[in-house]
Amino acid sequence: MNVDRTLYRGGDRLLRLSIALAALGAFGLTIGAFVNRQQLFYAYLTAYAFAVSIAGGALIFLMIGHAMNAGWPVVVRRLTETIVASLPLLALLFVPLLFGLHTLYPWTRPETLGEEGMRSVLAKRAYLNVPFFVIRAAIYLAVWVAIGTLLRRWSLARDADPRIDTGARMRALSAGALPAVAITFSFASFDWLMSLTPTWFSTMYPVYWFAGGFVAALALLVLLTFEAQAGGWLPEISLSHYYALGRMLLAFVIFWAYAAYFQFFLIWIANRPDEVTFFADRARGPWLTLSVVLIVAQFVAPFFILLGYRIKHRPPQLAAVAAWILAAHYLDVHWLVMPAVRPRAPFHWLDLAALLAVGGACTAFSATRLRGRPIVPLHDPELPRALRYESR
Amino acid sequence: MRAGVLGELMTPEAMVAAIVGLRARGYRRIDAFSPYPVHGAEEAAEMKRSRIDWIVFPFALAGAGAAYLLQWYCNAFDYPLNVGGRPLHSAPAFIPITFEMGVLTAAIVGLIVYFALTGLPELWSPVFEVEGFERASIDRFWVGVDAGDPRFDRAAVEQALVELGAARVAWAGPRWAP
Repeated sequence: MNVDRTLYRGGDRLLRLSIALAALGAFGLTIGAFVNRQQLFYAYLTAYAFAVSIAGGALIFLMIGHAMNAGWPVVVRRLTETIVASLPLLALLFVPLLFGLHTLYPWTRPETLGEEGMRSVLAKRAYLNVPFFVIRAAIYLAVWVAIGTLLRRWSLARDADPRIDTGARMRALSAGALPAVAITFSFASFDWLMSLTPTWFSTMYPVYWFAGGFVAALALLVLLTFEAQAGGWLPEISLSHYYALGRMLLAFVIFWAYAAYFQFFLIWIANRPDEVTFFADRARGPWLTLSVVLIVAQFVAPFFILLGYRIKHRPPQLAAVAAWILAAHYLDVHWLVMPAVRPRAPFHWLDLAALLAVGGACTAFSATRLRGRPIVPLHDPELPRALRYESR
Repeated sequence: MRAGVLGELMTPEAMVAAIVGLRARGYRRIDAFSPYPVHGAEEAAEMKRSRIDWIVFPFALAGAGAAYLLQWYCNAFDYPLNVGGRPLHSAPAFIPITFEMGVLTAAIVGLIVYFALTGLPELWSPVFEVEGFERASIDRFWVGVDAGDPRFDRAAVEQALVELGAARVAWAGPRWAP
């Protein structure tokens, strides 16, 4: 393969656009800081959780690929690493949330929760307290950033010099650290999202959170692959690769529905007062409509579309479905965060500002880190075979 | 293949080349027999994708719908039973069985349709009578043109197979055929 041709030098337009949108979003957030701090922090948390779930999902996909010595994912590995490359920025973007902990999390002010709620929260005080919350967040982010950075650095080192064989190292780290990432990713969902309603709990919650993040990461990967190819990079990607990506997308759309349904079903059928509050909040007023929209957008529509054989062989249409799933995942995170604070009006203009700021910044940061690098892991010994991958 | 002309080839490459050659001569109903799956043979024969998915899909939907209807009929209509104060028509509780019945119907119908479309199980076929054909499961590669092919002409096909490198050409099927 021609080395020069694989060095990514595009993305000027994407970079300009994402920086402009991020600046616009940041401007909106600055205004929001003076207008409505409560809505600001909830909007920011939603956007942040959306971005970090995708980066985390991509990290897990990358690690699974290494751990299993997976074949075809080698061709999209550099693009996966590019999504993961946003993690250091996301660690930095967590800092603003620290200023809103008292606004966001009721367990920081148990006296506002009523007698029963206060008793429940005080019993969890050993876990739910501000210093420990901050330490845990630092640990989660440190683990993800460290693993993401090492995997990316080793992968790029081999691209620079094929004599450096980092394959075994990457595989060992991925296989060894997957449990650590799984546990930190699960606890991050407990801390950052589930504790928004500290009296409620569900053991299925991290599975649901992982399923959403993973399918969104796959969707973003499909979009990046398609866009890279449309821009003239990655000419060797074949329909077989899209077919494989499309199958993964279908599988994890189903997995999300499975996690979502059984979380709902077990709580619904047990009908315990302390558990049903979560779904009762989401079955009232405008949230009932949004719950139905979420089921259709995140499962019913993509499931029946992706079920067909042909769609997975038509990259433009597959990319459109992927964009749709990405939007549905934002709605999913919104649906997790907002009902507690906005029972009547689900949307606020600050949501868009926060999404632009966080999404734009992550896109610009990742795109910058890809520039001048090969768009495929050039000297991976599996690359030629991965490019020849055939599946009908 | 119920009737047709077969040719014996020595290598998988020759088999793929023979398939390409037969297609170039205008034959469409081509069959091939090899001891193992030969890479590129399906592409060379330009085999179309099976339509089994579109046959199975409505059955899967019907199976799921029937399962839902049965649960509704039993629990909410024919013998209404109050279970812990839940509504008689409890859609969430019906979903697991609805889903499982959809999958089960799809699997069973898929199996039946597969057998119907492929004509399996086929305990005897005229091609088994061809001398030396048993080596198609050892080390030889056989390519044939079905007598149902619109351009079929026994002598022409035999000629074509010889030109394409067949070591042996044989007729499979009833003796009285063309």
